[in-house]
Amino acid sequence: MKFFFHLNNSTGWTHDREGHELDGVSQALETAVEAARSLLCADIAEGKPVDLGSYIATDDEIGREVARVTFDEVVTFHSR
Amino acid sequence: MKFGHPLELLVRSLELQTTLANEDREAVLALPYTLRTLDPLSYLVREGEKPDKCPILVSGFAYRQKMTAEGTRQIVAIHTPGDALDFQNLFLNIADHNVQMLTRGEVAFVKRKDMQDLSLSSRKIAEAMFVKTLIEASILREWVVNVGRRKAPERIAHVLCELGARLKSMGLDGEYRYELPMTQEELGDAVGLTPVHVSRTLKLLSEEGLITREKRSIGFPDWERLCEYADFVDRYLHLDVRVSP
Repeated sequence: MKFFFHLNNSTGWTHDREGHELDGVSQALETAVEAARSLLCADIAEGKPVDLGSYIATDDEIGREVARVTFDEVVTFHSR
Repeated sequence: MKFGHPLELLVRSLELQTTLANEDREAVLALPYTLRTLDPLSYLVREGEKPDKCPILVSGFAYRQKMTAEGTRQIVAIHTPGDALDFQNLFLNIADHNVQMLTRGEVAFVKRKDMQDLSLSSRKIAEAMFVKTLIEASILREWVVNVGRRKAPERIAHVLCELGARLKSMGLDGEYRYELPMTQEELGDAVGLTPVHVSRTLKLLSEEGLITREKRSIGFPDWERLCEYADFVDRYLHLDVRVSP
């Protein structure tokens, strides 16, 4: 099955026009979580503002959204 | 640019750094080979297998990769037409990595024994093959620096610059534009980023006017500025270095 991972952040949409062959929705969800964490890591490492409201909308082949991963869901912060 | 004999591109590639005598050129062109057209993802070399042939890329693109135990892939080199895809295993008895087609393309398969014999028959040919293997090591060093030390935009820009410079050296690209032979997923595996990260980064490079994109076609409006941005210095490709006699 092909899934498309569209990123929405403060600059707008970055659409995935190629898509990725994956086994199913659960693998697509894992992929979206991994992607969100990777983007957050890069922004933090580069000292950029972190937009926790960004999200990755995952569509299936017929354009139906099957998952939405918001960046604040994929990290846990502890302050002491 | 068209080449009549499938091994002419190999001769051209070897002669980028080493001047071959006429008889050396003829010896390369006289190698027996089997020409096959292969689909994307076809394996040319498999990790763990004994190499018995030396594939030469005639058209299309290929890549060298290793897999982790978890099944994630790191692409460690991209190959362009004219590249010998397995000089690295010419005298090793087990392949320690995989080589696969990136796009559909033609490959000339030469028996490993014939290639070994050729390398031992002429000092200049041996030198040219050794130089190619050294350059592959040089490129690998640059890729380690790229993945380990550069930020995402520079990493991707660097790979785009390298491909452009290599295609140009073989006379295979259009001026300041070429067809990117990789999906965003494959590009991500070459630079250690997720496909979504690649997508966001390509968009950023476009917005900064460093590249233009139309489907897979990548254009470079200001090649010098992109090279500077990417920290790309083509010294490691050794494109214009002639080997001393």
